[in-house]
Amino acid sequence: MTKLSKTDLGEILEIFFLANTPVSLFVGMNRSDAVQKLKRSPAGELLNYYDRITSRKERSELVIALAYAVLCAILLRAQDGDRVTVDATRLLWGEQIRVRLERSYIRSSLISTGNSPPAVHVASSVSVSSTVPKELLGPDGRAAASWRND
Amino acid sequence: MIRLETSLRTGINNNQLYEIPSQERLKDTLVRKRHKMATPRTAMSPLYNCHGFTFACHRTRIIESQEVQCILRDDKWEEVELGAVLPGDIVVYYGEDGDANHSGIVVQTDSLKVPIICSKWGFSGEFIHQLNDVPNLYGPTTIFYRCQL
Repeated sequence: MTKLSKTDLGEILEIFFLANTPVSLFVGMNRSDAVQKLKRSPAGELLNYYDRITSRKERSELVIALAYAVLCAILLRAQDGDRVTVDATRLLWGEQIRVRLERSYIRSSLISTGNSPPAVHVASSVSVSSTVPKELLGPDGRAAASWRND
Repeated sequence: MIRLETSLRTGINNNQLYEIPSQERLKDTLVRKRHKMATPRTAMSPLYNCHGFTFACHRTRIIESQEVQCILRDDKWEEVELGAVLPGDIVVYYGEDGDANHSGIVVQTDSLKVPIICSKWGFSGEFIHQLNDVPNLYGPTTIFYRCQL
């Protein structure tokens, strides 16, 4: 699994330390380099790691901050289609983060246009048919010569 | 959780924490060093957060944005323009997603009408600071309110 530097750990600890709400904790974690790095790991590995660190009897605040970072990475991977079942209730704000993220996932899924990219048609040339009337027509379809100011 | 209600007797979800772990003490020192212009007012405390400070007299932690919105509505907190802000008004910092991620009380306005805020920073203590001199986790939008009860 991706290894985090001391700076990464310091960053997530500070986010955990300063966050006032579960949503701001998630937003801060999502912006952090640590979570961006963790997101590159396979979901299964992240889940194993999450299970290991959250099942410890004594959890230091750094371990809790790290657990939140791993949880956010798992949930973000789930948004990308890599779905695993994670017990978010092991962390005080875990369930609130999971529910919030799931809600936003459902909302964005509703407007999904599917996996295929939108088709773009570009006209390579413009051809003018010989059947196009040479006469200039007005908005009513009548020839310009027949327009009248009624 | 303590019993906490708005003026219309709507219950407000809240919770209290009591532990201050050692590594957080170190982090607190770092945060204080980073915001040299902010004046620390109290030592760190896990018992209450910013919303608990602003809306519940330091007694507890309010962590849900909808609870903050409920208090603002029930207790008739009405928006105030920046130029009309007075001490005693409050400020709520909102994230791009509308989450009320921080709040504080206006304690002063300087000669340029810039509000000086007293607020509680997560597990850290209370600080007296300029409106934008806060950790970048808070904001970016700020709205001022005055209670019209």
